[in-house]
This record gives sequence, structure tokens and C-alpha cells, in this order.
Amino acid sequence: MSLRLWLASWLAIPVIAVAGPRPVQAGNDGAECSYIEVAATKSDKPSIDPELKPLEKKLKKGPLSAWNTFKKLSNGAVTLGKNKPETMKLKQGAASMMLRDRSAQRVELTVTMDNAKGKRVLEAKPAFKTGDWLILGEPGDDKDDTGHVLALTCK
Amino acid sequence: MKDSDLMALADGEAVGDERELDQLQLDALARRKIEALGELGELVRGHIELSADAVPQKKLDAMWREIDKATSPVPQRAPDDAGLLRRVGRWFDHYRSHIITGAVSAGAVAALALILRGPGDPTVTTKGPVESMPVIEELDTPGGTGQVYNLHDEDGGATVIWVEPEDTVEGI
Repeated sequence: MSLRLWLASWLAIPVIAVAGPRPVQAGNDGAECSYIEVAATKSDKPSIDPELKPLEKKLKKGPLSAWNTFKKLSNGAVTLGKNKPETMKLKQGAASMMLRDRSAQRVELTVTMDNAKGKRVLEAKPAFKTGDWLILGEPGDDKDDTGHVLALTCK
Repeated sequence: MKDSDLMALADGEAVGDERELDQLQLDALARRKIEALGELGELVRGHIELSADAVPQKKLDAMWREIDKATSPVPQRAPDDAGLLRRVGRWFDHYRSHIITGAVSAGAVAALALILRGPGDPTVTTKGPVESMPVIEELDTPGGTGQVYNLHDEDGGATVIWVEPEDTVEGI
């Protein structure tokens, strides 16, 4: 190896190390999400399903406090790829999620929710902090103080 | 005798022959001139010696040093290979073109790497409070109305999208 080539190599190595391709951050193109489907109602005996512990404090606040009895209907985990919608089959209807974009601390989704009759009741593009919850609440249309809640969180 | 001959005799430059010395014995004026020349010479010599004594010894020493420096042989330079820095400097001088070639090549490779890398992923930075706020960019609730609530507790934040069916709203 000539001296010129040797020098060029040794000068190039640290430069490439600094300016070279950036390592792809694990999971930076996707998101690990989980969901909990909840049936809500108002009763004389308030109760919250123990499996809803992560949501307990939130279920007692805001519009959700219109109900006092919450029961988990289903739950699951969804791995989202960017711009790839994933459908969740629920006990009462269906929902879908699509990751539009994300950073280390924030996810941007497109979510839809259909009621038990298959009617689209919601389509939204939320952006929220990873680890926070997105709660979709839908009061029953039969005015019997029942409701349907879908809570989503992503990391 | 002529004055020039007298001066030569007074300075000892001419010894004078017998006839000249006889004339000198007879010529009182010439003798006085020679004595006067001798005294004048003594005066001049004494004055010069006094002037020489008046020069400070330090000044003389400095002058001698200058003279010694000017007359002494040129000191030999230290060997060229003395000192690591000098050697390294000589090496760089010698291989300057090689180093430039290497640097230019490295720069070209770095530029190529930057071009091939593209914009890449944005650097992860800590989001400010505004950016960490939940945002609903679009909300469509067919056949109903939607409201958004932000909840926060020690377990974290939550955004609630509350969908009120149209007929329920009308019922209220």
C-alpha cells in the first residue's frame, strides 16, 4: 500500500465515522401500541375492573365520570408500521390505527372507530406524547347510561 | 638644517650623519626645535594615554567581545536530527504532497458519505411543553358531535375524544 493511500485511509476513517450513515434507531419507524376496550355504565354499585388499573384515575375524570362502572371487554397489542393501517376487532364494533409519523416522544396517528352496527362514528388524526392515553368515548345512543370506550396508548 | 630633517631626527626616523650632528651641535635653534618636538611628542603621547585610561573598562570589554565574535570561526549548527519536533516537521515537509492528497481524498469521501446519507432522521431533542401537548389535527364524527378533553394526573396524560350521537344531542 502506497504512503498516499495509507494516509488517505487513515484520514478518511475518522471522517466517515463522524459523517457516515447514522445508525437507525430501533423502532423509530414504527410504534408498539396497546388498546383496551371498555364497557361503561352508570350503576348504584360503582366499580372499576381491576384490569383497568392503568386507566382508573382517568375514568373518574371529565366526561368519563358520567359513568361509574367500567368493565374491560377486550384488549390487545398492535405493532404499527408507518402508514400501514391496522384493524382491531372489538367486542362492540371495530377500530383501526395508522401511524402517520413519530419521534422519540410523540406519535401521530390516524384512528377510526365503528360502532357495533358497523357505522363509522369517529375518524381523527391525533398526535400525542408516547405513553399517554387516547381515549375514545361514545355514549350509547339508546340513552340508557351505557357507553363504549376505547383507550389506546403507544410507545 | 631643514625642519623636516629635524622632525625626522626627533622621531628617530633619521640617525643623521656626522656632519649633520656637528651642525646640530653648533645650531642652538635647531637643538631647541628638536627638544620642543620631543616635549610636544611626550605631551601628545601622555594625552592619548590619559584618554585611553578614561574609557570605562566595561566598554573595552564589550568592544573586545565584539572583536572576538567577529574574528572567531562560525560555530557549527546543531545536528539537524536533534529534537523530535524538528524531525516531525521535516517529515511533514518531506511528505507534504502525500498529506494533501490524503486530506483531499478524505474530504471527498466525507462529502460522498454526507450526500449518500441524506437528511436522515431528525435529531432527538427534548420537546418543549407546547410540542408535548396532545393535538387533534382532524376530527370527523359522522352523525354526531365530537369534543376533546385533555386529562392529566400523576400517571400521565390522556386525550379524550367524546363522541356524542346526533340524536342524543338533539334529545338534550
